[in-house]
Amino acid sequence: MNPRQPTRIARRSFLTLAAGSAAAVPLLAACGSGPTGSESGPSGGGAAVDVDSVIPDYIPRDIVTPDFPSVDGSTPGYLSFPDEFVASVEEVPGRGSSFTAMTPLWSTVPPGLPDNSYMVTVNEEINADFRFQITDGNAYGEKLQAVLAAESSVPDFVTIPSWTLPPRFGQAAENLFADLTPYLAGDKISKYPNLANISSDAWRCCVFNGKLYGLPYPSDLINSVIFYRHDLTSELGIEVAPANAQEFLDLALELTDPGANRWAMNDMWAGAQLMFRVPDKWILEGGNLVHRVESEAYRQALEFQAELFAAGVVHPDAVAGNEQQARQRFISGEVLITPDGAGGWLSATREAYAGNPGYNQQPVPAFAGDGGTPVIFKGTPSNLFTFIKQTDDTERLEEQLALANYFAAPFGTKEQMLLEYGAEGVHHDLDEANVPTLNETGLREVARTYTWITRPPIVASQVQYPSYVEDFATWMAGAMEYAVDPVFYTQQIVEPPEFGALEQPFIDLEMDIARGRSDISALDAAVENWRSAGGEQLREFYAEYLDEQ
Amino acid sequence: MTAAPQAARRRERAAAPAPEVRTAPRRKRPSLSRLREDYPLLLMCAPVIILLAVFMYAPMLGNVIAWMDYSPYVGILGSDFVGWWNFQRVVADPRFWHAVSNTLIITGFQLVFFFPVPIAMAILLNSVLTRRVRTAIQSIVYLPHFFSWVIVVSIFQQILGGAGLVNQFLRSRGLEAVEVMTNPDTFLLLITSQQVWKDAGWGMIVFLAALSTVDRSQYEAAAVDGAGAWRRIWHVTLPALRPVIILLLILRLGDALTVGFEQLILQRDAVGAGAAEVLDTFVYYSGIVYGDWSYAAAAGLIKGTVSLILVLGANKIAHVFGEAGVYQR
Amino acid sequence: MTTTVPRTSARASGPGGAAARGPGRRRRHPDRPPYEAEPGPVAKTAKTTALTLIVLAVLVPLWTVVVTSLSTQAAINDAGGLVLVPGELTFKAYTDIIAGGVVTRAVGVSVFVTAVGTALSLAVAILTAYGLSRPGSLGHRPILFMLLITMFFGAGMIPTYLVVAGLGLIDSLWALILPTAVSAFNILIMRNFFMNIDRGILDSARIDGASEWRILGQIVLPLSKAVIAVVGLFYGVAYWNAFFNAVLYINDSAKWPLQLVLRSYVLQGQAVPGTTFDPSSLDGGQTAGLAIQMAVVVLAMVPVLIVYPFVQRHFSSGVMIGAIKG
Repeated sequence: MNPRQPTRIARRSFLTLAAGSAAAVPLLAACGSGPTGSESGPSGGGAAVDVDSVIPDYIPRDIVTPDFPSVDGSTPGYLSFPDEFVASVEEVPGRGSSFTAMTPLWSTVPPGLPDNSYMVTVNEEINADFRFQITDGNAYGEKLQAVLAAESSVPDFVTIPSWTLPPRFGQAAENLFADLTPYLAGDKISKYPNLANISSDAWRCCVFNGKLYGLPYPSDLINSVIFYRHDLTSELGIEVAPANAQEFLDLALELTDPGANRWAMNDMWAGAQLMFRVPDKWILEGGNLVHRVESEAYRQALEFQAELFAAGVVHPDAVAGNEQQARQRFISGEVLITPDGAGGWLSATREAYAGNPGYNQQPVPAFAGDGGTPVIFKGTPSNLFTFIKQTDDTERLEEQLALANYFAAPFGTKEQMLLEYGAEGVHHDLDEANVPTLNETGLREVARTYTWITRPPIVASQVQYPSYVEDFATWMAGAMEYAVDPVFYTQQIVEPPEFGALEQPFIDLEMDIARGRSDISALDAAVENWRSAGGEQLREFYAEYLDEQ
Repeated sequence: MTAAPQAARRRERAAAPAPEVRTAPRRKRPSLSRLREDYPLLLMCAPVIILLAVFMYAPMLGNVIAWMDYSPYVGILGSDFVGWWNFQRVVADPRFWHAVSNTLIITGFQLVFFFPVPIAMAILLNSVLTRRVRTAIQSIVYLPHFFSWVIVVSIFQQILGGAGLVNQFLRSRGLEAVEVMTNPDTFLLLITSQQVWKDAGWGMIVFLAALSTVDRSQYEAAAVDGAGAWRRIWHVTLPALRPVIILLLILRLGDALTVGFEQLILQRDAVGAGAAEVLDTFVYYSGIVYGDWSYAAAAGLIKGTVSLILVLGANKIAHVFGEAGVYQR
Repeated sequence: MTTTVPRTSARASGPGGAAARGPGRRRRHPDRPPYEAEPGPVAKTAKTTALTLIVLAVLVPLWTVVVTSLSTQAAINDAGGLVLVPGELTFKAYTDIIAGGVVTRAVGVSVFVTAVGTALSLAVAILTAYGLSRPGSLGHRPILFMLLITMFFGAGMIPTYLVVAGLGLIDSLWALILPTAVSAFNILIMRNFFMNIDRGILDSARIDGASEWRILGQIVLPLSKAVIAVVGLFYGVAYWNAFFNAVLYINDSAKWPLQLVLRSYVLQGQAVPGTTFDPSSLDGGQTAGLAIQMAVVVLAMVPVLIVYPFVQRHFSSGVMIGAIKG
């Protein structure tokens, strides 16, 4: 479950952070923990335990039947809200205890307690006094490291985005956080039916050092998409359905017209990797681990990327490395094709609708650069985790899990409505179709802080954009045909920190080759250097995990 | 050379050596007597000593992790010593030296093309006679300082970028577009102009303050002696600014290894690491990003040591030229 | 303050007298010192052009930022980014930010931190700068060195956090003040100005038996308004703009300073960079348009615009020292 292009993360997160001033230290790690030194292999870290024996059973809950059901784990879609919201939790989960929780924030900061009637209401409803330590999402990794280093300042719940999992997190997990295995493994989960409704893959991601430590945050399985502006290409009378890389390039040339201030695309690197089946980290070839930078796919993607840049179809600001406004360029129609995450579909649509009701973006149908069968490596089934601070008090821990069970209440339940929209009449109003709209108080006070701790399986239910729900759900259901588990999918492997910088030269090389500052031949030297600077050791390190499988 | 400026300078100089004469014998006195005389001065420094000790020096002890394989979760006590390994990792990397050389080139360039700009602007502005105009300009030019680098770079892109105003205009005239934002060869010029735009007005303020302490009668005296406008700048204005200029110059030299971190990271993709990699970005990408605290600490110590040597060296040079510098002799 | 000695002096009819006469000649500037000749047309044009260019270079981008903050999303989409020519205008970005309700409280926090922090830092800086300004005084070299070191050797984030947490300052506004209260740079600047005060005055005061405290309070401070204003401005701006210490040390969002709150408006709904995680895709998530981002820039600048003229007053006129010296 490596996030895509792990090493790229740091730079990008810096860019937004740079909107402020201080130097950034965001972190990355593939995902999770493991051995603390290069010497100790998986067995040393205790990962030899069969993961399936520590994760909870999967007991799906069918509260409302989706209009577009899930296919192989794809995100289901709902075109309407149910006539009646059911209760999915029978007892009040809390016992009046107080909890602190550190959660990220990527939205406007809500008023704090006691001025926030939404939090007051939810706290009353769940009978627990939640105090959130809301933390700027883009500086999260840094604060996290400081907080975890000072044991006394660790809150009761700590949400950790997968891309900010600190190195050597295994140590942190063992020293600071509660082992949830005895409470949730196997059929013990039946006490918490909403948590049991979360997929096994998502739970697998929460296993560190052979023990279940985290609560998952279910996410879209397909997460790398190439989008195009359907409304604008239709206007131009151009059909977007390339069957291979050449057709894609031809299409791009056709769409580009600098005189009209229009370019075909943003930086297509993520898209090129998708077209050429570049893995996140490793692929298996003949039973051997091949790193992405060594792979033929990587080379082809780079070559194609350079071709796109040379053809002048990439927007100049994208050439200049301005990723900040990539979405803005797409929405304004300065570029017609952009790679984005699956979630970007909704975000961009929502943003664009305000000024342009005719806005319509669609995914470019999956295709492979060589015209063959496309491969889409699955994205992480859990983008974030929440850990519970170690405690000797079993009752308190069970109270915390019961609360998590409440937060995982699925679409169509009373609990989910309360968490997402606050109280009816106070924070939101329902129309005749039971569709909630936040009112002024709601807009100001409803902050989805509770559901960072865990959330129900993700669904598409934005009924106000009906075509979006249908398009999204059917697209993903169809794309699952090409979805493939990457090697080490859902496995928590954290490399020793000294390997961290190994891939850095490639990030620069990718930029240089794309923009013609370096020739593709520079790749060979870089790969050679990678191997001798630790790449081979890294391969051995991973091979041990492979042997475990 | 006319007499008046000389006289003015003589007056300046006359003020300087006087305390030397006075203080020289004091140094020879026994410490106890000096303590009796100087304790109020020491008392005045007490707050700063306490604040520095608690919030700078105590945490600075954490730099010991430069010699460790440090993990925050087991703490300093639980981490192993690894000798000079982290330092070796930094220094052994050819990219480190590339970054150092880039950094020094940028510093050198900016010393010539950025450093004097605020001084020149202060002098220019000071020569504006109408108080209202002067005040108005003063209260505008410093504003870009409050723009974050993200916005500064965006603004430059919107004007000079491939899809920017200038190039849109060129294209509409059927001319070739000019690539400024992505050209590694002119990058030095680009980042320096960005810096001038953002910070020259702000940097000017301290010089304006220094100018306000100039005794106006010196100008008059110089003028009476027939010195023209340029001469007066040379013989009255600049000498008045000299102590501040020297101080800032020395401090800038000490900061020679620090150049616009955010600014460069933002434009790294555009021109590539070849042109945009500086020491801070190198350390960031090879250690800090990966939570390799020990590596970052080692790099920080190397940089700090070099900076300190540079500052002390520059200070020595200043003394040779008879300037006060940071430290008195 | 505008009454400069030279203007009223007897030499007023000196070299400049001729310039005012004759048809077609520009009138002599009333503030021009009498000893100064009227500059030639070339010099004058060059100066005016330079100043105009400088002002335009600042004003035009500033203009686009302000106009963008006042533009509708549609107008921004049309412009494809920052808006130069105002189209459809709206105050929505500002009302959105202010209606959030958190801003008012955050302004209070920021004002407190800035006021108290600047006062404290300035006091510490003045004392230190003076304490270190007499050549040859006991112990000034090691203290100066101690100060200088902090400019080049930083303390890491984690150790500093441990100290702040150890002092029980987490969630205290003092955590936003004390760790950054000392700026070696500012102190060195101030010391530099103090050292350029005519030593004769200080020494004669000392001989007359004045204590160091009295010399500082009654001679040095009145002579140093300009540098105090400047260093105060530097400190004030640093406190006002700081947000990262608040990220680290303030858990309770009710105590967030304005910059951190404003930042949350900028980050609102942006995809988390480098990941495919998109918080704005969460149900009901809102996205910050460019207008809001620019409104944030403008709002953050307002207090400086208000305060600056008062600060500037102290260094834009420069007769004081001369008057006292003379």
